[in-house]
Amino acid sequence: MHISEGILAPQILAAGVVIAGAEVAWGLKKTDHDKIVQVAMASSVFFLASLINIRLGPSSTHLSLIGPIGLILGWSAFPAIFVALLLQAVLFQFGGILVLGVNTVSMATAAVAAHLIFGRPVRSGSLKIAASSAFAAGFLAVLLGASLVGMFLSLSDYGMLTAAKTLVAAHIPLGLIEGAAAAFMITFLKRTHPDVLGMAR
Amino acid sequence: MIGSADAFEVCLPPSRLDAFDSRCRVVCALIAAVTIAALRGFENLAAGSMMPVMLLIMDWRTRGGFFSKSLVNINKISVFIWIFLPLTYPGEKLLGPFSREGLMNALIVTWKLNLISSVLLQMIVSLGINGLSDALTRLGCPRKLGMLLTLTMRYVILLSERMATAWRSVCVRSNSIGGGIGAVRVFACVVATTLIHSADRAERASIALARRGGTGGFSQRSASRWRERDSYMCALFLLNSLFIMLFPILIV
Repeated sequence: MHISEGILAPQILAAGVVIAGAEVAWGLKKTDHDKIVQVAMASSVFFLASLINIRLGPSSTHLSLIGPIGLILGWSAFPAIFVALLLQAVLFQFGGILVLGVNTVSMATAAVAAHLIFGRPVRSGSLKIAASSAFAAGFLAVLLGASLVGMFLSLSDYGMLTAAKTLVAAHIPLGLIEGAAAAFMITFLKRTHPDVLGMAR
Repeated sequence: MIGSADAFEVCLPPSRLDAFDSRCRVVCALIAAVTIAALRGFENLAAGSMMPVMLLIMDWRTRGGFFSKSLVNINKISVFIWIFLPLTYPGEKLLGPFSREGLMNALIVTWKLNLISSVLLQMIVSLGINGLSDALTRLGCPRKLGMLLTLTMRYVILLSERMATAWRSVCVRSNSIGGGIGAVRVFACVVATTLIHSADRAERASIALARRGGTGGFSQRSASRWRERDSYMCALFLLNSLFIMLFPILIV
């Protein structure tokens, strides 16, 4: 779910930088200095998890885990996702550095939206409510992220509207898988270490 | 993909560009990349190719393997672009269902993708995470962000082996975890377990960091400073951008 270099016009790239800058600044403001290590550690776990290939029938996929990142890190997901995308761009050339702003806006906004909508039921609801909320958070975060990527693509000068629609449609089954992963993960954490879920603010 | 910590380090042979300040390299790369991103015509793109090609040729002998591997990775997305744009873009059909305008657009996007990536690879990616974090902090990015970047990189290396071991042990114990929802469940449990372990570890690391009065960086490391040659380099990149923009007028 990355936009590559060369597709977007400088105006859109600039808008992405401005919005992502504001989001990251807000996320850093909401992150206490003594919580930075926890955020870095959680961010690196999600970064590594997104590199694992899961076999699904005849195909395989990497999960982005945007929903669980938002549910666990809360507002800190803004800088955490920015850092993860920067690492992906530098280490594996996924996405890019010039499109970092746009990619951060797409993914981090979806993660924080998941936290704002589903954070409370996940933390204080019963196990069943938490699991269903986590599923919805995982599913909707992927769809929102893909829709934002699609929106940026459709603003490109190269007639990417059909590609954008296809991208959003292709993310519906992936969203269901991400939702299931989020539900399993949150249920496991709620049963064993609910304090990990309290990291989000 | 995970397991070896080496996979997460950018270790490249030395280059002549290392003589320049990391801030200068970041600024110059952004000037060049933004200029290329703004180009639309083939004449401008031809003019804009000079600097990226020169940067690649300069260190091709020592870094050629890294450049070619990275460019192959980057160009995987081009396949998607070359299928979608010519198929969906309206216009005169040239090759079966592919439109002429779509093919042109795909060519422009791929060209720009390669030029921008070449500049960024040579000027920014080759700095490595530590160099980049240092440059960002000295360019005025919040200290917290630099610290988060350095610490995340450190923990990625630390946790990569733990996570790979956990995943391998699950695969061994269950013979084959198969596909479908079972695999997703196993994956979720492995990630959650690593998260719990890392949360404990983060608490200890945070206390240790606070006791040392540190900020996660290495302040005793001698920071490079902005020299006259860095200013010349920035001026050269600005002139190059101006030349690229004015190229169609100049050739007329």
